[in-house]
Amino acid sequence: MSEIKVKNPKSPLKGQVGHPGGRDSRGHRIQKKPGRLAEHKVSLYTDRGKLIREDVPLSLLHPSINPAIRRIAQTIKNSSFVDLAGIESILRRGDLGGEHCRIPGREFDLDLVKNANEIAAGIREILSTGASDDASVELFEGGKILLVRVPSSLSGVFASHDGSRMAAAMALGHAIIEQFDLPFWQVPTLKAALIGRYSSSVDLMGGKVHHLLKESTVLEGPGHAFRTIPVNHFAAITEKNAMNAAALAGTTELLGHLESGDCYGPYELYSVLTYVYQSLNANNLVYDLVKDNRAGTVSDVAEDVIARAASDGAIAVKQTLPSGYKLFLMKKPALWNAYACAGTLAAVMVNVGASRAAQMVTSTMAYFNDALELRTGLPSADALKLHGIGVVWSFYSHSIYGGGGPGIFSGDNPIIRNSFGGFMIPCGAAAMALDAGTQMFTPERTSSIVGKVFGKYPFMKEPIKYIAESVEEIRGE
Amino acid sequence: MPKKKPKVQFNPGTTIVAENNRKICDPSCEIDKVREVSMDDVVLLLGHRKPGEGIPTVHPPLDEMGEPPCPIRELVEPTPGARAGDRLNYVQISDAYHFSPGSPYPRARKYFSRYRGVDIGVLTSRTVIEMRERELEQLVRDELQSETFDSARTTLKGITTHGVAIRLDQDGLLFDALRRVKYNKEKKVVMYVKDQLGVPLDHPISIGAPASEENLKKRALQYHRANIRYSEESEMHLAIERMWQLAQLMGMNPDKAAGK
Amino acid sequence: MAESRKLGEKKLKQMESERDDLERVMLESVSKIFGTKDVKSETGDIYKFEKLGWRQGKSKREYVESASRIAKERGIPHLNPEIARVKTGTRQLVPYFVEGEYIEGEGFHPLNNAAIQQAFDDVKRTVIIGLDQAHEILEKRLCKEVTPESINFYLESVQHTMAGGSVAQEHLGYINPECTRDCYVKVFTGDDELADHIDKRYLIDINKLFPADQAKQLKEATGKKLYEVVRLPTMAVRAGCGGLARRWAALQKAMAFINAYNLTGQAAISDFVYGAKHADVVVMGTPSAYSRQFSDNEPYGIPGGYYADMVQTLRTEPDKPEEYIVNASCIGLILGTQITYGFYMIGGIGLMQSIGMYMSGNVVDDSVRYFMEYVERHHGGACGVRPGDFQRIAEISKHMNIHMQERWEEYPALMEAQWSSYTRNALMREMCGDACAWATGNADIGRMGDYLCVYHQRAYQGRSGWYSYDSIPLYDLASKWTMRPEYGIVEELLANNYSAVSPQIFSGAQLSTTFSASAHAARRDAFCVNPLVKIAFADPSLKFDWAHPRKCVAEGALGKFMPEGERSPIIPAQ
Repeated sequence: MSEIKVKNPKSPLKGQVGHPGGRDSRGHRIQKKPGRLAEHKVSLYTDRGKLIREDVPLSLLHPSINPAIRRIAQTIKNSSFVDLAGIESILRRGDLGGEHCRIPGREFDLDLVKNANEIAAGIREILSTGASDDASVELFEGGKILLVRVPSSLSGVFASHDGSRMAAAMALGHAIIEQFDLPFWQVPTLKAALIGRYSSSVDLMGGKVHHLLKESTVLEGPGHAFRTIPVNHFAAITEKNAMNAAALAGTTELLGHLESGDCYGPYELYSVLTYVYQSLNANNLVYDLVKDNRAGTVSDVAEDVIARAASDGAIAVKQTLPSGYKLFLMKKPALWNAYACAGTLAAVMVNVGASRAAQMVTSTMAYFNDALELRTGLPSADALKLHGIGVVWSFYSHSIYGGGGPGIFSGDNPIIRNSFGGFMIPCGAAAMALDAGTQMFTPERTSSIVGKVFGKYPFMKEPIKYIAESVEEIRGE
Repeated sequence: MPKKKPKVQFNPGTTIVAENNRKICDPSCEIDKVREVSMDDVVLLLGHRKPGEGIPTVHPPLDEMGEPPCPIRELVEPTPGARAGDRLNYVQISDAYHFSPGSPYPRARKYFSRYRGVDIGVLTSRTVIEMRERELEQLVRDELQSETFDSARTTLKGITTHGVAIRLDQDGLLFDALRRVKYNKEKKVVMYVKDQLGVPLDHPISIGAPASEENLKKRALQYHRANIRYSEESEMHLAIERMWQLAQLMGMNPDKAAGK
Repeated sequence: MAESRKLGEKKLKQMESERDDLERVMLESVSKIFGTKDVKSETGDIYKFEKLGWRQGKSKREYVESASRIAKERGIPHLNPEIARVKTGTRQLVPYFVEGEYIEGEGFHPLNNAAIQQAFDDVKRTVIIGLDQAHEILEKRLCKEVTPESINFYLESVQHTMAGGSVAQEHLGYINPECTRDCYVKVFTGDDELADHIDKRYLIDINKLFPADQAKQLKEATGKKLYEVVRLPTMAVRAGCGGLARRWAALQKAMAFINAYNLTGQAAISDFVYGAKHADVVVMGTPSAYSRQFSDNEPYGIPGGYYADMVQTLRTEPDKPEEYIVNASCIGLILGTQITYGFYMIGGIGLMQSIGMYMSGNVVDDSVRYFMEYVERHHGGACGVRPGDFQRIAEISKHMNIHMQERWEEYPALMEAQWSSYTRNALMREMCGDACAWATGNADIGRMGDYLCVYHQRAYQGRSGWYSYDSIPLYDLASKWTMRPEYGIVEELLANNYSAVSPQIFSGAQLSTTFSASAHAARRDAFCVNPLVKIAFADPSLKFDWAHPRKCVAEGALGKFMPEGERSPIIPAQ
């Protein structure tokens, strides 16, 4: 990939609103009140079980504060990727308006890829506003793919993520018109190659300017955007590292649930604690569970989770029944939930790891949690939700009634979206990362461009490490 | 992190139904073998390939293909079928409502306790199991030989599985729209005349004599008015109702469920 | 919490006696269907019809004959059971005993049942529009006088315009009135004085149609406003969709105002249209989310409480809340589940067997009476249990569950007559939930009782109801009381668009219909959610009998129901 030369180069990350350095656009320090989160501390480990940081307060891992999580959010929100080679091909053949459409008489030849540098310079020029100069356009595969990032001055005033995509698409359009001196009658054709059939369709159907998040016109509900990333994308971006795929998925799900209104008041601790244990390998729980049960079964992982939760004070025996069965109670419901969700991920890694077949993720989720319920008398992960979602996800990935393989699902899918914090998507991401090639719709098939483009950001490829390390940027502030 | 392993428990309950469920979920308990079935017969009954044929693969062997660097792949050993690249395949087991020694949920728990790399769906009239094909064949053989499979009231049905709540036929066999099994009155055994997909077999395969209903009732994994009534299992009620209540409280405010 | 409302010993004895009859008839019907007196045996001659196969069924024989003829006429194969790898009719094709008749399963598919179609069409073609805003425009903006006479003239004008007649332009065509014979506009109001002046042909008279206590509640809730109930032609919503209802209604109303009040195409007209389309309009259902993309007045967005309000049995038989719940169950089933899921979502054969089975054998009738009796004798009667009393609620749900399950176990032939576990388990869920809603007067608690039923069913039977049957009760339980946006909703407002029920529509509006009906019947409320909907469907001009929907559906299954919207006026004579 090559980086274009721009005027006044600056890191695209500095100076934008919400800069990870902890200051807003007016220079005021971003503060999160310590609150309950700060009372809870965890130790953070790598994906291979090596200690990174000890005793990290949860408050420093909240998405609104943690610098690496903020980088992930801003990068996803403000970046669009353009299939420039695809646009060239569409225009050459007249394949406008989506699959199977071809409009005779609308074909024309533009050497877009050969002129990629000039086009990128044009986009940069158009998107640069006076206030900031951090618009960036990066080229991949010799100009076949562009990654366009809108400047912080623009993104800071957009109401939603749609702005970055629309701005990128229109800047690209103007840059091409300028570069090739297109006549007016070719403008609609060019536009159809960029944004598809919009606004006849409510989405950008058939266009070649893409975004990781779906358009707001097709969201299932307010604030869902971060929940619309398909499972395969996480596997592709992290190059099929199961721990990091789960971490990236858990991060975007938490962002989405925050935005949907789910993680406030009494649910804040519940959501963040579960996130760090399940997705960030807090206290090395997930890694330890997998390591200790790597030759075992789903049932073995359940036993181990219960033992650890009891030992670490999340649950305790309430009473012993006549059969000798011990009924448990939750001393710390949020912590029990964190263990149960982390255990679900570990069970998926053990069972899918054994078979190297992603399809097993769904029933593993269901029956791992079934085992927790039967063996403790307590609600399993996410107040029974992961059990229920595992069951229905299993149905819809194994039958004629809809759905598909785990890789094409996203957290907003009407079938599976009912987790309080999106705790099922990390399981799906880990499963697709571990799959050896048993699925039809693999990350290689659906997400190779996404993987190449976003995988170049280290904090997206290895979020566990970078989220942990970025704590140092704000510790003590 | 220190870890104390308490005595393992599987489910509440004082009746024999609860005991039977515990037994099959506990990998340290032996499941009784009640008949012998050859691996060739298993392959024939599954109908996915012929005995002696190689198992088709969906990807190259892992050692040949190489795997991306991943800590979980490094920790978790793939099963032999995964390592070889076997396709995934399925079996469906259908249990009569009327005193079959197996039931879908207990089956799922049994397999998740005793096998690696297993994918199970539970319905009323069937339990569908998918695994890498060589592991699947081994599981099916274990199951066909086990006490949780009755030749009359449990049937391998790869398709058209409905009918577990229908009355048994006059020979005491589970209803089957595809008539895969027949009762041999002379030998007093149940014979498969078709494979699980309903394709006629070259020769019938005996699956042994059905157990008596008295025997089956002792091995029951589900409750029944004419055997162990659900109303007798008060520990289970307590556990279920408590879990139901706690989940509601957690939904409103997780802290409200603490200590209850 | 509502105060406890006991039915009284006399009513209990009456229901007990009815239950004895219902059970006797239930077992007799099963005995007749299978030709055996021994309905308790777990074995039977189940393959005796194997050689006949599909030919057992009268409808199937007729259909195959028709299909063969059609295939020849059109030159493309058609329905042909011989092509199926799995032959139909290895065992007996069981008819369903509904409303005293033995009805083949075919009768319960929407395409085979004109009554189900009409029920669905009635919902799609109904729009309720407030008239007060229009009158305000006339008086304030246009300085016109609105009097009872002018209202009556408007109402006469709107019958003309709504059915496709022109009023202002000189050279327009009309719609064939035979195609719009079921299109009309009526009004209702909570203002008795105003009602006295409305031409009786157009009035839905609350005082005449409802018992006094219900009329009082409805008039209080409605207030002194005047509302129009517009019924679009059935043919229109079949050619188009429910989304056209309020648009058609708004424009034709505007034309009627022009005629009645001597107006023209002036700026104020847009105010009429705005009011009729957006500001003061009640549609039956709201549009669905992007993933489903149904317009308004289509089944996805219709809350269960609305369906419960459409059912009129508590109006015609106020002393029989049990009949109201039975009929609400029917409407919830056919509109909440069958149309939405069996028709819109999966199509083809859909759910016809399950629907017939669900209504058959008097099981619903018997179970509703049973739980009313049980709750009265052991838990203080209707509204006798506090919503926070987890223990009692759990007891009621578990009791119903065990009672129903054990009855099927006692009579294996009855279990075979309702052989689908989807049906049996769904019935149990509904009855457990209804019992809890009745006991507490709270439809939300009905849902909690339903979910608990599923957990007990799993433990009891060791099997599911269908693949992922237990999913929603598992993942939606914690949602009910949560302060988070997309999880948990007031039960009466739960439509199939509610995100949690998306994968299993049965759990959606069907159940919320009966839970709402049970809770509000227990409370002796005249309506569940929307008094305007309750009044609108009391309209005696409707062909579908909203007070006795199950009877109507049975008639439709037997080919005895004459619907609206026939195209015969505009096609060549057959």
